[in-house]
Amino acid sequence: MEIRLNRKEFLDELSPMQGIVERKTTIPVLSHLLLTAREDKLHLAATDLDVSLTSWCDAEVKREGGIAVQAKKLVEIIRSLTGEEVLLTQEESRELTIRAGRSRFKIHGLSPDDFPTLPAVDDGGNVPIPFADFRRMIGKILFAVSAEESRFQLNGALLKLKAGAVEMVATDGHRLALVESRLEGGTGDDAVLVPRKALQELTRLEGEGKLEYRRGEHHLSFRLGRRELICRILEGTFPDYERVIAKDNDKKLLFERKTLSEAVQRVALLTGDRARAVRLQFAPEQMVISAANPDLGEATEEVGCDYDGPEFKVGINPDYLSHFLSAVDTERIRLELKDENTQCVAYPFEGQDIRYLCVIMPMRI
Amino acid sequence: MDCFYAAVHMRDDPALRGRPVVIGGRPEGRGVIAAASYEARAFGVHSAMPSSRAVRLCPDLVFIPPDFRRYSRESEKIFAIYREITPLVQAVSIDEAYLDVTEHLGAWGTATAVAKEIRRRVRDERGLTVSVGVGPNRLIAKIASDFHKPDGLTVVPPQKVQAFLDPLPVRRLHGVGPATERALADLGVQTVADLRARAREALADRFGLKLGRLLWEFSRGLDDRPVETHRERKSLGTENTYPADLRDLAAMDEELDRMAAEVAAGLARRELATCTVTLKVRYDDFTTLTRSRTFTFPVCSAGPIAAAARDLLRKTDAAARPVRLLGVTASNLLQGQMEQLWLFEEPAARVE
Repeated sequence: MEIRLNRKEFLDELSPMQGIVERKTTIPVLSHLLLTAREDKLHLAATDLDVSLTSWCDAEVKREGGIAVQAKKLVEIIRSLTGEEVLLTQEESRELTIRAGRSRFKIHGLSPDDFPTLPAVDDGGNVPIPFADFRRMIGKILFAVSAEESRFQLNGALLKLKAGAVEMVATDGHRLALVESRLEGGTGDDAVLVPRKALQELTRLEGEGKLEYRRGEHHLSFRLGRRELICRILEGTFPDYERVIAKDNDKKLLFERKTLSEAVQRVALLTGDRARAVRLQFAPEQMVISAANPDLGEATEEVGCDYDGPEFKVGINPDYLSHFLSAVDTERIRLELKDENTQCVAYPFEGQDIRYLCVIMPMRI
Repeated sequence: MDCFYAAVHMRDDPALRGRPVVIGGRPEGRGVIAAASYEARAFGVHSAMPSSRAVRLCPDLVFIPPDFRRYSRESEKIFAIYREITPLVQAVSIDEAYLDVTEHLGAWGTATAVAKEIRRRVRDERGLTVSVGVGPNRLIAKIASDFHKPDGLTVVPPQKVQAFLDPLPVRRLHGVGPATERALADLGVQTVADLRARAREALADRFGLKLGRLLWEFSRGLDDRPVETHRERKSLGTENTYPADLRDLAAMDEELDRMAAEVAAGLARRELATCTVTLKVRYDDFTTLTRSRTFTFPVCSAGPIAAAARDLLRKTDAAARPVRLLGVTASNLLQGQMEQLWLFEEPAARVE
């Protein structure tokens, strides 16, 4: 290969690739990016075998060619260089020379043949989804996706495309987040499990406009402009979540989101790493958050709220509450509870979504 | 305490007195003896013996199912007596404790008088006998307490320690188990006096620095371990060796459920929760392995502990190889009973 391209443009396409590349992998080529110069473009690809990202930048191609190079080093080099232009040349098949200004790097690479073949998602029906809305929705549920490997069917979120709406649901077995938003011009009737990493990397894609969604037999494709993220569909049965969204919680409380969020985080300072539990004591117009830790001590904070029901208390993981409070975008939020053994449901107050809620199971303390 | 479990039943039921009584599962099942009265011991029956074997040794054996809550309550009352005498009480088990009375001799004046007072109060107030050993440290007190059982009092004053220890078999020393006993026997060491004749370096060479030093010190009656009143518990578990190997996953699951319930009860008694569940499996060829699961949240009830143990069992060869021992242990313990509740069904119900 022998090409000339804009350094800034190159770096912009390299950046989202970093998250895809496996940092600790036993397969060396997976820590590499595939660079292919063809016609008037430099094509880039990264994969961890489950999630892949491809993109391209314009290039002045004098000689076509391809090489797989270590992703982290390449990004560091391109970022550290100065000047507008970068020259990439391959004098030998397993070496890439990078020139910019007065700098010259010659880095070892691997044969493009060693790079895994990326799955293709056949051009079926494209569903256009406004990317900004989609990204905002992911941010509202991503925290509830399970990180526990033993519960693989929860290691992703359920994506449901409805007529005129999109719904996303995630749960780790202790809490659940659900968001449903109007989807302008949306059609379709599809439900699929999208792995956690794909969701995470989707939120890192920059860009305006429509995300084109396509579903293949085993893979999903999300295309935004020149970038395409392909992921394996998570197999498994998602639990029957509608039934755990409590409808008959009679104790309803209204809070200022920021006040509550800050108080929860303060009191949580006195909970242990594993004994993550705060006690919420409710009384008319007031809630007291408290934490006690045998090694550290105790903390309490009073938070004003709109409530006129009976006094009661409940134990809860403060992180579960905080995650929702950070994700929700309204000034005020509503908590609905019944007792200390059944689910608490948190809602935004006057939000823009059709539905947004977070169900949290209490902690028995 | 002397034959604690059996003694509690025999105290409350005069009809049992003088009879060979054991606490444990019925001989028809796979039960094991948990405790035996002195009358039963006379027939050669002892704890950890399969019930079926015990009944062959003593056909008139009276079987009583264990009632651990009752023993636990009785133990609390006896420990309360100890704590009135000195705050420095180290519980070793439900019926065994070290008391440091050095600074708490009070009106009694001597450790021997304190020991007599303990025995009198336990007898008068609880109707049970306790054997007490008095010594300058834990090592000696423990050996002395076992010296005259049941209902005994053995006092070993500092100047008599060596004479007391010398003729004893080394096995009596804390830290000398069957393996060390055999290794010592190979060196021609049978009694504490034999052990004392060995050079410190020679013991360290053979047994390593730590155990070597311990053996050297213990053979001289030296022991500086303090009476620890609040040693933090690192784990809590139970295990069982089966007289007949288990070959059936369903039977193993049942055992895991039972052990999980026992662990959960232990956590409840001590007001603890756990984050890590460990399963121990020993196959018929004695290869032993452990598998653990660590939660990011605390649990304390039997359901999730059992579910984790069952899941872990499926990561072993238990389905294909006969199993002679199973164990369930909770570690990563947290103070306070707490448990993150499940949104969908409890995990125990999820396992088929």
